[in-house]
Amino acid sequence: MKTLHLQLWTLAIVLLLAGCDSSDDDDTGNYDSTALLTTTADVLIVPAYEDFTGRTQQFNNAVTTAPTAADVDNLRGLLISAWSSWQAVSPWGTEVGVGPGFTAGLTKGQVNVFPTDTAQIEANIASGSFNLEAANALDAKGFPALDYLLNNATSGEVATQLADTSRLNYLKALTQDIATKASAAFTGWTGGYRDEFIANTGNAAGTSLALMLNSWIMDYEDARRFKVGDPIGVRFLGALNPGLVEVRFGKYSRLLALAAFRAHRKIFAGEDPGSPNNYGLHEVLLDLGTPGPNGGLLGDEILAQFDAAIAAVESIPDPLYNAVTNSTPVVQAAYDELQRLIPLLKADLTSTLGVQVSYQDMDGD
Amino acid sequence: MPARVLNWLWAPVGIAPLVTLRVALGAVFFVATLRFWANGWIAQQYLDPAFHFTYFGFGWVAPLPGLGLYVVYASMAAAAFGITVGLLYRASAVVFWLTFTYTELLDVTYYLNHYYLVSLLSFWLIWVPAHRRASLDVRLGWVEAATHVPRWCVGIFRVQVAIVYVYAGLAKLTGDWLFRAQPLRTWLATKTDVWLLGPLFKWKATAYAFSWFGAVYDLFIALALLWRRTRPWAYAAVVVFHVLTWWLFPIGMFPWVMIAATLVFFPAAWHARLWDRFDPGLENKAQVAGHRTGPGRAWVALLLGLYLVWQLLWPWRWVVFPGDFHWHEQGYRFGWRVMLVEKAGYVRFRILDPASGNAGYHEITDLTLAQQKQLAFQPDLILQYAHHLAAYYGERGYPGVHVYAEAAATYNGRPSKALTNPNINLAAEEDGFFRPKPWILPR
Repeated sequence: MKTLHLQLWTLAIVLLLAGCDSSDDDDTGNYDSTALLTTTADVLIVPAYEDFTGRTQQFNNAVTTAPTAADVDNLRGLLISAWSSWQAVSPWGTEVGVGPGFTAGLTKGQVNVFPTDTAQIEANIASGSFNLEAANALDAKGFPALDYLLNNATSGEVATQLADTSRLNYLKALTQDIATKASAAFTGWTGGYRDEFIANTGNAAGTSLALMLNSWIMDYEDARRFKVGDPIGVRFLGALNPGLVEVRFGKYSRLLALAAFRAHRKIFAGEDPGSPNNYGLHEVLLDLGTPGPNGGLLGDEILAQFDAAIAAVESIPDPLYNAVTNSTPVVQAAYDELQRLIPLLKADLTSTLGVQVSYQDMDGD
Repeated sequence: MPARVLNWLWAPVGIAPLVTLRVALGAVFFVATLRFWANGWIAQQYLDPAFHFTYFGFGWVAPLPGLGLYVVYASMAAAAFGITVGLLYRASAVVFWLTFTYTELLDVTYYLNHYYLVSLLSFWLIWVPAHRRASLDVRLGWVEAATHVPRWCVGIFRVQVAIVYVYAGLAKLTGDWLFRAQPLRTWLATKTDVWLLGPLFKWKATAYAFSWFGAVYDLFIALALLWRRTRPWAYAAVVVFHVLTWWLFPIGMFPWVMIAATLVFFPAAWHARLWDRFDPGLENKAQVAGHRTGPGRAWVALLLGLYLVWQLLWPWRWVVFPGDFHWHEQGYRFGWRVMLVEKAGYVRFRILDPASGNAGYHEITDLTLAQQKQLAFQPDLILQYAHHLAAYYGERGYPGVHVYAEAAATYNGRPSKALTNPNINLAAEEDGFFRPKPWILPR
């Protein structure tokens, strides 16, 4: 028994030495998780909330009594500005629940459900008493509802509609709702959660890495599905439905889609133009040296696919609402490019970083 | 059956190891059940999901609605407690085995080797008189105290634990484990923040050392536990090894199950020293529990023999499937293959209505993230879900839709690769025992 043990150990050591590829370096490759979380908080999340809070407050403050056609034009511009800004916040507003944005209710389900329910909006305005927190109010509020209120007719006609105080009150309630939640989320991040986020290292369920990755990837899948896939009926056996676009009345869905996918690319790249020292997922993958499915480095392949997807969305003729019917193959091609990122994110990236999707036991030994 | 074998199986040995096993395993089962409940997993894993992946042949097993499942878990906890303290022991063992196995059959998503082990160990607890000493059943006078049990009653647990380790060790003799240090290399590279040991995980050599130590440990720990001179060291290794894995990986109760179960390798005298404090003087009585004569012995021996043959052969069924079974996973489960693969994947289903020629992709909305994760790289689940989708579209006015799966998965640090043939209509493919799945693409 003892000799057998000895022999096996010798064999083991010999095989081990033979088995190690001597051309490889000794490092497994590793990355700086604190730097990644710091970049995520300080470059991606907190500035996104700060920008969004400023724009939603400005928007909310601009809703005043007796708006003129010029005021309506101004409000429309502020809606575009706030809604575009939302696209960088949305990845942290999923049901995965990342920090104060989630607890403040600043989620996609609260501020960006489309298509909006115009009948419910009109009913709420007519009754004058409504509860924006009720479950049936979710598709009668948020940005798509504001799109309906501000963009359903010419600015002059909208100004006339808003002479009705109960309509104006509803508009104000909607802008106030978003601004309040935005402010609460931003205060939560700056008031302590940022440090908590950076300190919560590791890759188990509930760690900052697992939360940010799961939330971001979920939002990316949603963006691909709702902004591009649903109007061309990917989920509905190909039945086209332009009415499902994000900005049904204002017709600038492509602008928001591009803002969203550029925000997603930035989350992966972790970088602001002009601040080259930020440390994002792209660099993490390069540091780990992970190979990608196309023979290159995974980090570079994902970045290249983001660029290809954004270019494909850019090639959709504006407005998306019309392109759905008139240029279906172009929209379909953009969807396909967006889709190609998902296995890279959900299989390769997730596997490399070893994050858990939910808190449960795995197989031990 | 030769009489010598029967006599050997039925020769009396001290009951004490069985008593320790009963108390230790029962306590672990009890804590595990409460932990499962306290984590909210009854609702999260079984009641909330609208769809469950079932085991082949067990498609009829479904979660009880409403409070039913909570009653099951309450019974399970009560039964585990009954096992621990030896109260209504046989009934407790039966209830525990039934309720535990039932819950494990509810959804393949949560399959773990150690849950399977708990089912097997609790099955054998039913048949052995582990309550005949240091139990409430004895204290209450419901059964008589005993000092001895037939040898097989202790032996079956030693054999079972040995099978688990040796097979887990054999399973590690793969190119990936030994010569690429995978998947440990992937996992350890993400653990460099861990207190004390973290810096070590930056070196590849650490992953190789862990892999090789793990394989040698699994292959030889049962032998080392059997041999008197190595036993204390071997048990210390058991504790260190399992606590280490518990610390590094989210593996739940498994370490504690093994730390408890391996106690059975210590000799009767060692265990008796513990239990003699509770009922001193018993050793003079010399009473054998579960003693049998005549055909009863042969029936038990037959059961044991069949069980062992099954346990020894079942993990090898992968040999009938061509290709790397770590990739296609046919014949993978129930083989003590633990921590052998790191996989993540993505699957989407293309739906084609042959009547109209219309096609689209189904977005999964009725599965939890945990279910989706397992679905993405386990072909039998992909097939089950494809059939579910065919039925789903059938109910919505599209009878006879074709369902195609586009799945890609990573495997032990390799880039993602297509797992399924996207041109084969899975709605028309059937699952079956030992039926190969030609629509799985080779690695």
